[in-house]
Amino acid sequence: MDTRSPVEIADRLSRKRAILIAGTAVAFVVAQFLATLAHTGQPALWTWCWSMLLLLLMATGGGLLHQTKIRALMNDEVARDHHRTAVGAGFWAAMVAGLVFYWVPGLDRYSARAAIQLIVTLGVITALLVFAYLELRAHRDA
Amino acid sequence: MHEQLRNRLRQARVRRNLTQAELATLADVSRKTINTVENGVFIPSTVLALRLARALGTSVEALFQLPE
Repeated sequence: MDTRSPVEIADRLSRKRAILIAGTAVAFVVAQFLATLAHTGQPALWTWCWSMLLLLLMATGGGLLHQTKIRALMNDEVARDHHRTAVGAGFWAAMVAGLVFYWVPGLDRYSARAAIQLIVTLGVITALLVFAYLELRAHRDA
Repeated sequence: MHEQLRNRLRQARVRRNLTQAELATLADVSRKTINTVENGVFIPSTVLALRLARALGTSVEALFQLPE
């Protein structure tokens, strides 16, 4: 039986969540970069699935299998503030990526699907990394 | 520390011999929240400020002040 308090459990889980989010986001970028080097034409289905999974993680904050009390502590006021900041950063990253795709010459050789996938990916990855950074910074010295 | 808000949360907590985790349990928030408020990284909402004040048995004004 777990004798730790809900605060201690939530603290440990939210730290693990931040590390997991950062690790998954970085792994995704690396995997996609390697897939791009292999150049298979259209974006592979797995990259879409992974993107959607990361988007779901960002939308829900994860921890869906834990008790309501633990989840509430994991997603308290500070975490929600970090989430808002991260989503804002992701939005601007996606906007910049969209503008780059539209204005930079030579990028029009990419298909619309590939461009959309890259824009979505950049937005999601930026949001996840910003969230993970803010969470880990908040845990520092706690 | 945020320039627009001075806070004495850490002093009030230490005066009552509470750890961050104990105060977090009393205020029903995460330890991370206590840490970020104490360090001035996060400005608490009115509700959170009231909860912290209640948990420490003091007033919001005793914990948080605007600079003169």
